[in-house]
Amino acid sequence: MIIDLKKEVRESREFHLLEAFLGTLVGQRCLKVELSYGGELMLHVGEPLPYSHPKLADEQKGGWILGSRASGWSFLLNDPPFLIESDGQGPGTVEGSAAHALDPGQVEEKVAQLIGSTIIAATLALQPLRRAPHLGVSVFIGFANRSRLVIAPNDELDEEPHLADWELFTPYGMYLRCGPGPVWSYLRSDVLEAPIDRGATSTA
Amino acid sequence: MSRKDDLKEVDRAAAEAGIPPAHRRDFGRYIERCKRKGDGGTKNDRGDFTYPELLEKAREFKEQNG
Repeated sequence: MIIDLKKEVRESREFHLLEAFLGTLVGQRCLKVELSYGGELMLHVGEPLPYSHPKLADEQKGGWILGSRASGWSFLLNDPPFLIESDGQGPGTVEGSAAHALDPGQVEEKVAQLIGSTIIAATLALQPLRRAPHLGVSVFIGFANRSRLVIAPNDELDEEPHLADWELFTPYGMYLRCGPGPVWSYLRSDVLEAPIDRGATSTA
Repeated sequence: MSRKDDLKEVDRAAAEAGIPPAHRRDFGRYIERCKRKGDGGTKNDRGDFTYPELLEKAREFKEQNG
């Protein structure tokens, strides 16, 4: 199989190709993990690159960036051991209170143990959902330090325009957007285009 | 407002300002940094941004990127 990493793919349901794209992360080192606006998790891996924007000139980004969009995510960290869940509540918090809201700085501090750790596994799984299109694609990442990351689409209703369940930016001016549903596209990331919009029920 | 709605507003503001996906991702990082530094929006006490504030930030981000 030969995949041209600079060629667009639109609205594909070929799961083995999606697995191949995600598999590109295996063998690469974690550069950093950050929380972006809206609680979106960003896993930066591979060669460190400068940001082009002057406001971010003091940071570096990874050549490859996996973004969770609004999907749930959880880290099982190994050393020191922590379980961090985007949508979970910690012990002793009151249900419905804001007390369980994650402190982004605290999360980044704990997850920093992954910096420099090599990704040894990157796999996908189909996951049933209660909302249309009733199926999503979850991501599992394993690190050499025996930590794990899961990104899983949640059951939160999604009205048009639909949001991808997760994205993978590559160093080739392209990005992969997966979802909603087991449908994905690999598109240019450096040009603005009308959002791909398909009815959530049409992908069931 | 859900996390999905928050991200959709960021995407919409970025698109309206002419920011492509790769820079939209960086824009998300930028406004999160603004929030943490106390330069957040007025939407709630967490410093989230209203849509007009997001759009203003997006246009500013786009202009500064040349």
